[in-house]
Amino acid sequence: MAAGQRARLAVELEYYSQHKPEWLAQKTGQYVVIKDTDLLGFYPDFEAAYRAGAASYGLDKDFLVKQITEPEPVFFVF
Amino acid sequence: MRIYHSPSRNLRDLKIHGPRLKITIGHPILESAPGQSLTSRQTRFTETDALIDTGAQRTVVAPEAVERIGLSKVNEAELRVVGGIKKADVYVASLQFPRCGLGTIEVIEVSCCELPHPLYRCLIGRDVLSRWVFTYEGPVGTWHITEEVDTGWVEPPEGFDPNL
Repeated sequence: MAAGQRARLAVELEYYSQHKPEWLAQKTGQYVVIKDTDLLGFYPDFEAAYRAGAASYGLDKDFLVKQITEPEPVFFVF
Repeated sequence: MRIYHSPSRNLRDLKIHGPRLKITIGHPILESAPGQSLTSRQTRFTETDALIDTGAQRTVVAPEAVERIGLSKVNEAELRVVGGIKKADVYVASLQFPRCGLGTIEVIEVSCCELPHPLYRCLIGRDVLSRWVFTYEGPVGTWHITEEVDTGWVEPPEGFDPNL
């Protein structure tokens, strides 16, 4: 990675970590959409959240779509 | 209702290679996104072989397929795999099944991870299987998928009588 360039979604994931404690109280289970440090909103499912993000930020842009859960899930794959 | 039947081969084929199918992975399909049109962006798709894996909680795509399409990243997640836990990038994609006639999944999260099997670049996980009835018929070496289809039924307004 070039100097000064941050990993994709690093800013958004940091913003999520900072605000997760306050969101857990009211928004557990919902999906949050974040671009840089811009909070777009909270949505009931992934598809609704992604569609809202794509409409606001564009189809080809990275933005965070993350379900608010405690603890963070670990997915069994193989 | 849509039904896809796997080809009938010898019994060992299914036992050795498992239930697999051709799929097309691509950018999410969002024709209704306000202010956006499909022609305003590079829409790329790739066809690949996928293994139906009832042991996979989520659908997983190999890194080379993700890079070929240029998917947008939406999250990171931890995956429990043989040998421990791996941190994985999560992308948004669409999945199409053109050779099976099954319905397109327009928007889905897919995790990106190196896959241990050389033949498959995608594992179809239980997030996709939750949309289907999947029947594995080991004794005869076949399997099939049944999918409910939205029939577009329109209920007339309550009290509406066309003869009045």
